Order: sequence, then structure tokens, then C-alpha cells
Amino acid sequence: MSLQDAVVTAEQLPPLDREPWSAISPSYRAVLRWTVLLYCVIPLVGLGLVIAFDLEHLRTPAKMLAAAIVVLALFLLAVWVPRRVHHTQYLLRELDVHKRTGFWWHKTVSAGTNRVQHIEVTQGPIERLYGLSKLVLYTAGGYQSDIKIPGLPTDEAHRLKQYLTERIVSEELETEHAAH
Amino acid sequence: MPPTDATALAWQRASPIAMVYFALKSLRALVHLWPTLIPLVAGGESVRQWFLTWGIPAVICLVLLGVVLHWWFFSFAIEEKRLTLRSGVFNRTRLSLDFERVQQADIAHPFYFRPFNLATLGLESAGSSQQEVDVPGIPIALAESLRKNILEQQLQAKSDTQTFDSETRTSGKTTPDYHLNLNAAEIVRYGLMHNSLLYLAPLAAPLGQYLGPVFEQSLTQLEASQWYSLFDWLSTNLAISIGVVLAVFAVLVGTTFLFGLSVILALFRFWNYELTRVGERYQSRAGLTTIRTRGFKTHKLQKVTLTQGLIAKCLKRYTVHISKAGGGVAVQTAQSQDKHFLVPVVDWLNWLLLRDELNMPAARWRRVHSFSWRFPFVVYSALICTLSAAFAIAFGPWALLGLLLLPLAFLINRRLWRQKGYFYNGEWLAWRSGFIGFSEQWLPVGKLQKIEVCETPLKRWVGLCDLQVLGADGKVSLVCLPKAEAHRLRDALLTGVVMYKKPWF
Repeated sequence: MSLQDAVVTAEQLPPLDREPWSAISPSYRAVLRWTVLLYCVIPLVGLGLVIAFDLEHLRTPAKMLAAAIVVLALFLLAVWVPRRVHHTQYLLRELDVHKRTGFWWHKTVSAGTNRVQHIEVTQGPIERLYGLSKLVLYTAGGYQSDIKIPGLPTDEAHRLKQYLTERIVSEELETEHAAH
Repeated sequence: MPPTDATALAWQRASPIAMVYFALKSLRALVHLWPTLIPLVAGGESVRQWFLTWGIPAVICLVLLGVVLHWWFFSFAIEEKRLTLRSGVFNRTRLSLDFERVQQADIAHPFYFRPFNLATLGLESAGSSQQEVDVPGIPIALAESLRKNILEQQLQAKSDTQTFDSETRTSGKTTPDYHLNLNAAEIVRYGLMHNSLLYLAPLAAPLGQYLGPVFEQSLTQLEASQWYSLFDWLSTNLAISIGVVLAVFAVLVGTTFLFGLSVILALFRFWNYELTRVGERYQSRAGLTTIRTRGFKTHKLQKVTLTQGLIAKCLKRYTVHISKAGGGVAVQTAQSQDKHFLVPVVDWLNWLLLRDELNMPAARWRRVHSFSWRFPFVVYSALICTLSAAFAIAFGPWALLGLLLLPLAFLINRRLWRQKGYFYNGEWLAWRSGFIGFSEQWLPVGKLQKIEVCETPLKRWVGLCDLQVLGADGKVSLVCLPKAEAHRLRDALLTGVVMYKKPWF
């Protein structure tokens, strides 16, 4: 089992860009919007208190900061959320899994199915409201090495998980056969 | 395990000398409690006095009691295929370790065990949560036989599931296929190259204010001695104040001292370093007081890092880190250094030999896109020009001298770019970067975990992207690749990953 006879690259996989990527559920927009609102409301409440209690020299900066937060929140809600959801896509192939996402900073993440260690379906309270789930694939790279596919309808997430788990098991069997 | 089984086990206690081991371990744990000393600094004289009279003896007593208790409650039982440990005073833990699950078995010979023919057996179990278990203070013969037993069990387990590989055939062989021995001179070089103590140097600054009065006192003595005439001569000839000469002298002495210390530490750690390969198993053995044996098998290799720093460049030497499976998990733990397999110092010839042993090719580096230096250079130039102009208006035209930084920024950014490079040949992906020295990271393609293509808005605009590759031991970023090239590389790497059908962990 040395590295001597590792696989020579045969470009067997077709290029990714022309594959049929699947989009995530559009209702994930609502989930993101609630999250943005939650994150913006907390500092706004704090700033509101500062303004309400009329702390002398903190009043103007607090108002400016609050205005900035409101502008940011409006931007996130109206522009960022739809574009982000529109850009988040995933692609499952027989041998590998991909996800691409990003508003300005685009990112395409890929991993071979044979490197997936375990799979998780998670669902937060807001996601539950909209019947969505998040599929998380863990690889062995430790920190940062998971692939998260958010905004999947719950039953679809479970079906994907089922499919991937089967793939992993069959991969492992193949590997053992190859070793024999 | 049923409780009746537990009574049937033959529990053994470690030798009383093992208390030294527990003492050292609890001292190490005490170091983590240093924040408790903050009240002492803040609390004033009376608190400090009270701590000296009562606190220190109490701490010592507690530690001693803890050590004795730890030793008393630590016991182990050896069965045919399993080692069971009991430990803990209040939180009793019991750990069963199947020999075939042990990933690595090391024997350490600390100096305090050697006169008594005792050793510490260190076991590392496989699995996602890498557990490390030490069995201190057992006779060397027992440790050796246990280790042999464990290795045999592993071989058996392997031959059950896999074809007979070369290991079984070569395990009886005593002459290694590859051998590297480092003499003391090489290890001294390591001490010079890797001076982690230099980071302590800034600590000297706050100490300086205490040293000041001491310094002044010794200065009067110094003035009487004949050394002073030397400093005096220097200062008059170089037309600088005696203070500067003394300061430079002090810095030189301090640096020399730190380097000397670093060399001594290196000698302790790597004395008589020996690297051998038998079949596909590499093993290193080194140490002056505590001899450490570490090993790894080729199929567990995740990353090879070759580095050369400034001093190493002057000495024409390199350092090789080899990460094993699980290294990525270990980065977060304290003793991450131990997870890496380290070849402390090699010259070019030995690196070529080792590279051949690891089946690594000679790299033909490809440059990344020149945007990698052009963009930071433009940013820095804009910054330098604006600042110089602003200062020139505010303080006078001499501030325009700041523009002299422009060629410097140019040279630095260009150098950084010229040092960057990547290499891919189907089996290995390598990334090289550096400024004066360099660092090369080599990843076996089949073992990559995740591949990311990242495009920042600016880079997308000029048609570039970054390729980030995650192995089981951390992330490597290939920056500023043309988009088509990055996509081609990503597809090729993915093919390599999904076609890799061999055990990689």
C-alpha cells in the first residue's frame, strides 16, 4: 500500500460548470430574513435604550449608528438575501458532492463521496417554521471541513442523506473488495 | 463489560517511581492555573506575605498528596488482546484499549526512570477522538513485550481483512531499507534554525526597568574594570555614546544566550536522531534524557512540509514535517508538535534521498498570476503616496522622502510573488511560498478532503480565483490562478480523489 501506484489522472469527470445544478428552496429567503432581523434588532434595542435614556454625548453617535444599522438591514433584506439564495446551489453526482454560494465572494466547494465521514440533517427553529432543513456533510479535515447545504425541504434533505449514506456504504464495500 | 469480569482482571500498580511522572504531570497542569496569581500581583504586600507563608506550603502539600493519590489509584490490567486502565481519584475512569485499535505505540525512557530500568508506554488509539494513553513506570521488558504484542495483534487484524502486505514479510527483517542519522553538529544547526526562544526576547523589555538599577550599580564596577577601556575605545572611535555601545553589547549577549539555550534544548530533544524505514514503516528515535520513539506508516501520510528559514538558508539546511492522519484534529490540542513526524534538519542531498523514499517527484514550479504582486503593490503605493503627500503638506517637503519606500514595496511584493508557486502531477499537489526562506507543502492528491474555488469580487473581475485545498491536516491556499486553470485543476484533483480506492487513514 505505498503511494507508488496511486491513480493517474484520467479526466473522467466532466467539467462542473455545465452540470445541472439544483437550486435550494426559495422559502429559505424568509429564514435568512428572520435571521437578519434578529441580528439587527438586538443592537437596535440597545441603541434605542441609549437614546431613550438621553445619555448626553452618546446620543448623536447612537443615532448615527442606529441609522447605519437600519440601512445595512434594508440592504441585506432587499438585495443580499434574494441574491444569496439565488446563488446557493448544489450538485450531487455519483462520485462527488458540490455546493456553490456567495453574494460577492463566490465559493464552490467540492468533496468526493468517498471522503464523507458522516452526514447530519439539522433544523433550527426558524427553519422548522418553513419546513426546511440543512444537510451537513462532514469530512475528515477537522475544523472547517464540512459542507453545509442549507434551505432544503426537510423530506428532500432526508432523502439526500439516505442516498449519500448508501453511496458511502457501497464505496466502502468497493474499497474493501479492491483491497482483497 | 460485566462487573464479574472486572474482579477477574489482574490489576497491577505502577512502580512507586512513577510518582515522579505524576508529579511532573501535575506541575504541567499547575502552569495552566497561572491566572490565579493575578490577585497576588494586584493584592498588595500583605496578600503576598500571606501567600508566601501559608499558600506555597499548602500548594506543595496538595500537589504531593495528589501525586500519591494519583499513583495509588492508577492501575492497569493486561489481557491477551486488551489493556485496561483505571485512573482518577474522584472521577474514576476506566479505559479499555483493544490492541488492534492502537494506532501507535511509543516507549519513552525519561531520565528519572532510566536508573530503575523503567519506561513509559504511550499508546494512541485510532478513531475520531484521538486518545492518548500513557502507562508510566513499568519495567522496560514489560513495555517492550507489550509493544511487540500490540504490533503483532495489529498485523493479525490486518491480515484478516487485507492481503498480506510487505510489512509482514519485512517485520522480521532487522536491516532498515532507509537510514538517516543526525550527528551533534546537525542538531546544533537545528537549534540555531528554530529558535522559538527568540519570541521571548520582547519580554526582556518590561524586565529592563528592574534591570536598570542593577545595571547602574554594575556600571560603577565596570568602570573600574579593564573591559571598560574597550567600550570607551569603541565609543570614542565610532563617535557614539557609551550607552549605545553598552546597549548593543547587552543585546548581543542576550541573543547569544538565547541561541545557546535553543541549541542546548535542541540537543536534549534530538540527540542521536535516527530515522529508519522498514517496509512501509518509518521510525524516528531521538533524545538525550528522554528517548522518544515515533513512527508512522506511509499510507497514513497526509502532508509533507519542507521549510527553510533565514538562518537555515545561511546554513543550507531544511526541516521536514510529515503529518499523519488525525493531525488536523491535533492542531487544537496542546501537544500538536508530537503529532507531527519531524525530521529536524536535512541537507539538500538527504532531502533528495528522503523525497525519493516518500515517492515525491522533483517539482517544476508554476508561477501564479502576476496580479498576486501587482495588486498589493498598487494598494501600498497609493497608501505611501497619499501619506507622503499629506505629511509633506503638513510638515514640509522632507516628508516626500517617504516615496523612497515605493521601490522597497515593489521589491518586497515582487519577491513574495516570485517565491509563490504550485505544482501538480496527478499524485501530488504542492504549494510553495515564502519571503527570504520558503515553505513547500506537499499533499497527496488521493487524500484530499475538500476542494474550494473562491472568487473575490476583484479577482473575478480580472478572471482569477483562489483554490483552497483541505487535507486531513489543514488547509492550503493556491492564490491567483487563472479561472480556467483553477477549474481544470479542481476537476483533475476531484478525479484523483474519487478514484483513490486505497486506505488513506
